[in-house]
Amino acid sequence: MQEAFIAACLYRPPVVLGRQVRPFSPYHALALEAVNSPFAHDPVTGVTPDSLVVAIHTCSLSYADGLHVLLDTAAIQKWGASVGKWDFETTLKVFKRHIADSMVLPVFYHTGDEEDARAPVAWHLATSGMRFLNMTETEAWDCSIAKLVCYRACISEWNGSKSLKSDEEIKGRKILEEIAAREDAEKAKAT
Amino acid sequence: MSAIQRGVTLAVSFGSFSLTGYVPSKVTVTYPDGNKKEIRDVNGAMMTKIFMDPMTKLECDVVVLSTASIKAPKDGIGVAITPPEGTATTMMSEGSTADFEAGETRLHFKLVLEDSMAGKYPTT
Repeated sequence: MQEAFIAACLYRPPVVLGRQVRPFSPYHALALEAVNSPFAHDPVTGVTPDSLVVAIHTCSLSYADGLHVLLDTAAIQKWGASVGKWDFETTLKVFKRHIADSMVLPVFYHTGDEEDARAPVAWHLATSGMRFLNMTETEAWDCSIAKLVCYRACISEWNGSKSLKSDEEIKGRKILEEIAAREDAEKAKAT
Repeated sequence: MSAIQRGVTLAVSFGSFSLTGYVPSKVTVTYPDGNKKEIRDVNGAMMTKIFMDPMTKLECDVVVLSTASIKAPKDGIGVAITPPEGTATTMMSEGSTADFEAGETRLHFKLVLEDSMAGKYPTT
């Protein structure tokens, strides 16, 4: 089984600077972009202590908390000040690790001629939660992206897609890598 | 064709590619004989059957490691497949496709071997 299918169900997010962050959801992706967070971009660059505090605050929220909580800068500043002395590098590392662990996604094959989505990916994911999984709007925006992608992978497979990488295909790659390594070693030995 | 089955590595080549691949899923081999004629005598009794263009059809996925982009063989191109401890069989591609993951290509081969055309397929 691909690790993503286990992680999507079993991942438990950490407490960062005293706040319980939530599994990374479509709402978090959208909200981070709305507040122009460095974490909305790939690769993540230019993170400052302030932008890290905002990102942690954002990722501890739910869609149900609403816009006024997301944009309540006075409350964010108050909370930031209440944290006391904290180590930026360590906290950044923990938060980045949370994003990475929360976003372990299944691996798919691509045909190479797929068109990029025109609507934001976060909207596609939330819409798929509502349409195919009968989630409420809040449930869909708050569901972890990893879970939504795993559910979507199952639905696609029911509809005939074979793009998800199978266990045998993962095994095959390992075998081929072993063969290639053995051949390289033999070549090196011969020369 | 019986040597090609799930879980084996085999050599595949077509165009300028010659690769070691792995068969991750079920292999389907069929021997279509839909195009047949029955020859009857004057009384309508069947004398013999003539099979037109008998062929072997092979359908399988093959995973190959590749950093370069590999395109699926075009229709009509010869694809040589050498199973483990076997000899190469060249078949004609008909509807093969390719899809990709980082450093890897999965080739979905749809190949036919017409009895009358064995070994006569173009390689480019």
